[in-house]
Amino acid sequence: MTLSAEHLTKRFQNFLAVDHLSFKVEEGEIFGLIGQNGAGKTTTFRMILSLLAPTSGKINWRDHSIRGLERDQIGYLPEERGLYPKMPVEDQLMFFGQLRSWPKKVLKKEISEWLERFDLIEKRKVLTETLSKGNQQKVQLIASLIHKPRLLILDEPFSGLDPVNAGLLKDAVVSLKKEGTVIIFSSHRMDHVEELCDHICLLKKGKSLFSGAILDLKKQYGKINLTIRGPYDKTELAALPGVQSVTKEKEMYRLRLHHEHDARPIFQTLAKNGFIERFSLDYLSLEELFTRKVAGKGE
Amino acid sequence: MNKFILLFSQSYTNKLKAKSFLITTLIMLAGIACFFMWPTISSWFSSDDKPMTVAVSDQTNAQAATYFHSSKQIKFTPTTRSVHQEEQRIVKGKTDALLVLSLDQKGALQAELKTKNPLQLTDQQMLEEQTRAANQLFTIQQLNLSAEQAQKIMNQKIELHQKVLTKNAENGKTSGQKSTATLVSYAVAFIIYLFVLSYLSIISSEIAAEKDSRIMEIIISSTSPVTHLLSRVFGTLALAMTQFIVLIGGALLMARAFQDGKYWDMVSTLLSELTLGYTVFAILFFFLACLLYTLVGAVLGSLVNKVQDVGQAVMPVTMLLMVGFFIAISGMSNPDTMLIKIFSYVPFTASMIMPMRIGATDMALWQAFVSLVFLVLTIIGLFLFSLRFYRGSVLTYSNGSIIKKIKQAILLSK
Ligand SMILES: Nc1ncnc2c1ncn2[C@@H]1O[C@H](COP(=O)(O)OP(=O)(O)OP(=O)(O)O)[C@@H](O)[C@H]1O
Ligand SMILES: [Mg+2]
Repeated sequence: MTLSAEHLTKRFQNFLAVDHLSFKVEEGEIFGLIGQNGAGKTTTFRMILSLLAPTSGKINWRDHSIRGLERDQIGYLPEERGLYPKMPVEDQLMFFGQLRSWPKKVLKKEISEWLERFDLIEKRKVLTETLSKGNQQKVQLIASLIHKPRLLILDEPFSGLDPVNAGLLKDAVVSLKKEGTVIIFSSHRMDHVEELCDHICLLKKGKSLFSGAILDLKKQYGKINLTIRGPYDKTELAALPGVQSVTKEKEMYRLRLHHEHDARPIFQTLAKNGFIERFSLDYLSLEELFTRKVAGKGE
Repeated sequence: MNKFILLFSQSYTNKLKAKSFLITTLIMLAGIACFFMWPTISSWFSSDDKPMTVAVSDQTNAQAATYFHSSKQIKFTPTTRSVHQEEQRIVKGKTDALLVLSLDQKGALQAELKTKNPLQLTDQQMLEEQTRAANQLFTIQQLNLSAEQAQKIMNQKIELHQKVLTKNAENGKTSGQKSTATLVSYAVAFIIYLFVLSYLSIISSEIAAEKDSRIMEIIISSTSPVTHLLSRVFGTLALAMTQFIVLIGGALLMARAFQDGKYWDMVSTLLSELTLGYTVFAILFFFLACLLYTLVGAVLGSLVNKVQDVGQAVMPVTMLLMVGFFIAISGMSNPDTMLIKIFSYVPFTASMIMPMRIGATDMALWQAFVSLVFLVLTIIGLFLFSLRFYRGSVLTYSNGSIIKKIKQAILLSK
């Protein structure tokens, strides 16, 4: 494994912000850290960046302390906008590139490519403060990955981005991943996490509720989301054995089952009435899993 | 090292290119230019450019009128008309004034001035000066001295040369040297005051802004807190020195160019009266004062949460600076007081006060050296201390006193 945390703990005076957190991230993998506000995501990132020293536990990079990883190999997108407001976009990116020891000449080419890619090329001489929030976020993102880091830390990268730009961001992240960059990010948008991440860590008040592959988390609950379309009645469906709840959404019924194996008898019962337009059995979405986990006792 | 140079030059050039810097420098240069051109400028605004005409009615029979010399401002013309006739002329505005010279019973010169309107203060002072000089010359003349003897009396100036009899003590300075040094030291204190005041808030705002926008997190995580701190301190110092050189250079050039180099001569005689020891110490104190206060500004900037809070945070420091400056001013009249002695060792005020003591009192130089060592040790101590919490201060966003924040920052830096 490339990046790993073992029993990582951070205590501020008498407040436990991160509590025995462990996770592993492999090379060329995207890792998502999810949790509510104040769960300890940013604190964890700061420890990875050596901005904060862990109270106990350790963070390793290729079996050695993370402090051995060259600073220039790390990219960081802070949670809040971290740009010089009075600096033109191009100079800004040049500065951050040089800060990671990249030569000016190479950077010039990279910068135009990235600006082109993110549709910012006309804005390159513009002062950063005059850009819209989403455009600033894009500049911030370019600044964090212009130097092709081996480890990229993105704290809430999607905040303020519209779907098109969020898509651009995802593409950029995926292409970096293919080049072997270890990417670790936090987000409140579960759809993005679900789409991008291979592994996740679910944090609640500094404690890890789950750490591993998304599929493994889903398997814990099994396929208990059932979607049906057909000439049925809500009460009729709710009365079926194994059904926990029913909600009607347009002409669709969404059923929550107690167990995955309750689905088969339901199918057989409904099939007696004839043709079923739609019958699909799915895992819970990450969003649902998240609320379940966080609302729950935390197992 | 490369990153230090990158951060240093970024900090330096950004501030150099800032409009506020250009504008303040230009305003200061314009101020200096006004100072040098003052005689020219004031003549533009002076109410009358024609010289004042003064008729001199000499009733002494001793040719006292010849002792009055015309100048650009006042034109004396001997008259043979009667006093009454001249008075009429004044009323009609043909002459500005009538000066009646006569002798009293003891043979002393008496002067009476008649004008239409009360005189302007400057004209009055000039006339009084002229009358006094004429009286002196007249008195000397009455004593039947030779021109040479008379000259000698007129130009006499005496200086008290001091000789200290204790061994090891340095020879006393002449009063001329002392007053020059007092003047220069006052200028040094003023420049330190002015520079530190502006650069203190420049550096704290720069760092507070970087902290506020989280750029500091990126920079510190990709270099180190020391690199960031030093690059900002030296970037600001370099800017201060740039401005200093521009202003001093500009002032010297203007001194040469304006008023036929009159000020240039003044400056060069002034400088030639300064000793090497004084000059070296004054420069060291100036530089170290800038360094100390820039460091303080950097630390304060890293501790506040928002740029708006900078003013409040640097307030105590500017107070300290003001105390130093006022004590330095008090030293203009008497540089030997106990107050001055004490504060010339306090690192935060030493740079404004010690140069005055070196130049204007007969103090041994080792005392200045001791004060300098205190200052250097304070800077080193403050630097080492700030390293203990600089990394953590980036992550403090709580409210509270500076002391409380430092404590918190030290905890976070562990
Ligand atoms: N410097 C600090 N001193 C004291 N407490 C802190 C400090 N930094 C963070 N905390 C606390 O640690 C907890 C975790 O904060 P953190 O910023 O890591 O949360 P987060 O998961 O990033 O939340 P968000 O989603 O809102 O960004 C919070 O309760 C916060 O108040
Ligand atoms: Mg956060």
